[in-house]
Amino acid sequence: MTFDAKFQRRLTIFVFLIVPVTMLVVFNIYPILQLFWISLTDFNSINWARAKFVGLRNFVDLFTFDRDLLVPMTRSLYYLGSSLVQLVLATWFAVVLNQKLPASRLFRTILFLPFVLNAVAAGLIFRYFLELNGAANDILQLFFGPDFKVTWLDSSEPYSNFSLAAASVWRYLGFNLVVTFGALQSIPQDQYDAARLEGANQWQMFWRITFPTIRLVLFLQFMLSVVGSLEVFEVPMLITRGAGETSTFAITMLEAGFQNRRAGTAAAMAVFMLAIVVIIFGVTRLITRGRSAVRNPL
Amino acid sequence: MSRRRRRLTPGKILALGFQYLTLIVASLLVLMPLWSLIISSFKPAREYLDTDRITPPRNWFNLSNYIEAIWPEQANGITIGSAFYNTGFILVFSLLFLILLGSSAAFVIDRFRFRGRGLILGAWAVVVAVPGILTPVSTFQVLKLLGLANSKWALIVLYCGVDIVSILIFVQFLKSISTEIDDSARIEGANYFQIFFRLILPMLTPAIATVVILRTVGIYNDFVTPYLYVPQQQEATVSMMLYNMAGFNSGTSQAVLLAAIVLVILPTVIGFFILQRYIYAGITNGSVKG
Repeated sequence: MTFDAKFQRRLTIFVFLIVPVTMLVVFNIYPILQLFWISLTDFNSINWARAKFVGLRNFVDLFTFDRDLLVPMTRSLYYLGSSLVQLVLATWFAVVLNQKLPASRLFRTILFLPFVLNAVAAGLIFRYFLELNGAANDILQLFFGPDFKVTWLDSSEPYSNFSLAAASVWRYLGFNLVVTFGALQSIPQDQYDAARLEGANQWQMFWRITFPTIRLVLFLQFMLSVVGSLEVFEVPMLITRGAGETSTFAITMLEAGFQNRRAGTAAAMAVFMLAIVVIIFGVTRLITRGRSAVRNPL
Repeated sequence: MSRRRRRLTPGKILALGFQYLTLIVASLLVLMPLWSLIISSFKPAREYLDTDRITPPRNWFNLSNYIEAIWPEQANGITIGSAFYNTGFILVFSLLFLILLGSSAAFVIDRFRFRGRGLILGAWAVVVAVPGILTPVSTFQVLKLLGLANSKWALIVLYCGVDIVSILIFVQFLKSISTEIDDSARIEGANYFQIFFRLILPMLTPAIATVVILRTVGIYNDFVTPYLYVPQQQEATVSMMLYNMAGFNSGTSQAVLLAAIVLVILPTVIGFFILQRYIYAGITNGSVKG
């Protein structure tokens, strides 16, 4: 390679990467690093000059007299539970639709529809659906009489989290469905034909042919659900404004950081959660290492 | 297909019936809230209060809520028109930069092996693993420092900054374009810029289409980013407009708000009906692998 060609190559690499890499550093890497720094200070969200280094105090506080801030983490369990149900349902529907029965496409379209809705619109649609005089109660009244009313969204009651978890399933089921459905496409149809000739029933075909193929994709979706259920923000924020029993870890953290002006505490919470997420991803990588579905295409 | 059709036994009919039953029940559950939304959006205020939320409106052509949503009598907050303008502005610039930056970065990453490449890829991987909801405390400081907080440009830089899924889609597509094309162009004296802009970029059109569709859905529907970084009313996106309209002190009647919701979801729903194949393909290719 001539000097000129070498120079041109370097120039190209530099020019094509300078902006994306700068943005990566400024808007992503730097904020992550700064998060660690803030978590070691008593920064009040406004005035840097008055921020003092406090060592690990924010973390110690988090497990002692700020323990209440971690309570909302338990609500992730509702969302974790619902996302498991969601994954099972999505797999069921993906397998059913993969038989190319009449009207499959129509059903797929309907089940996926909530996923393309605007987040706020979807949240409000569900809020008004579950209101005291909303459509959900109207429908139930057709069966159980005109006095039947459920306060689905009473945020002073823990059970309202079930309503929110249901809203989350409503919105995201289609996503899991399409991902699993995509994985099913890679199974050659003649495997099923051969199994059928051998007299296998559908149950056996699912466990012997389908499940082994999509196991990895299901596992990855499961791990994403675990992380997702730890970070729940939108659904409770839009439906019950994250009030009372429906607050989540992310909502509490943002309240601490912005409304209560305790950036140090909020950053410590974020770092704590980040550690959990990193562990989950680490475990995922360890388990899936070398499997083809996650081969890094780069 | 028809040759494969197996004979139907009672057991199979039962199984098939059960499968359809689950599909129908699930579809009804999905559609019920949407049905309630649509019928209610056509009911004038009085009728909306007097009737339940599942019976159709007396007059399907009553557009008073829609008219009030688009041209409110008293303007409180931002009009739906300005919100659509803000969202459109953000979409156009985010997509433009994302395509340009994403495809050129993907080109260099796919075609060249250079020092620092592994570092950049590693950094991208780390960033993807860090949930965006955890960093606002510090991201907000950066935006404030750059004078971007509360401006549409904050959203634009955040949307086009790092989107690993888009870069992945570009890289996957680039792999299918033979490097022989680059080589022969080199021999004819073209430099890398010419190769990229004249040869590669036009061939990336299908990948660009996928990225545009997926990111349009993502950006248009996003609530978290504008909520965190651009709370100012005048810069409100469609998401923030709805959020403010539904607020305690907005004074918008609920029926009008429902009409506004319909107007906001209409573009993506129509787009989805037309482009669903591409949306499914994009999700299947980009999601879990990323």
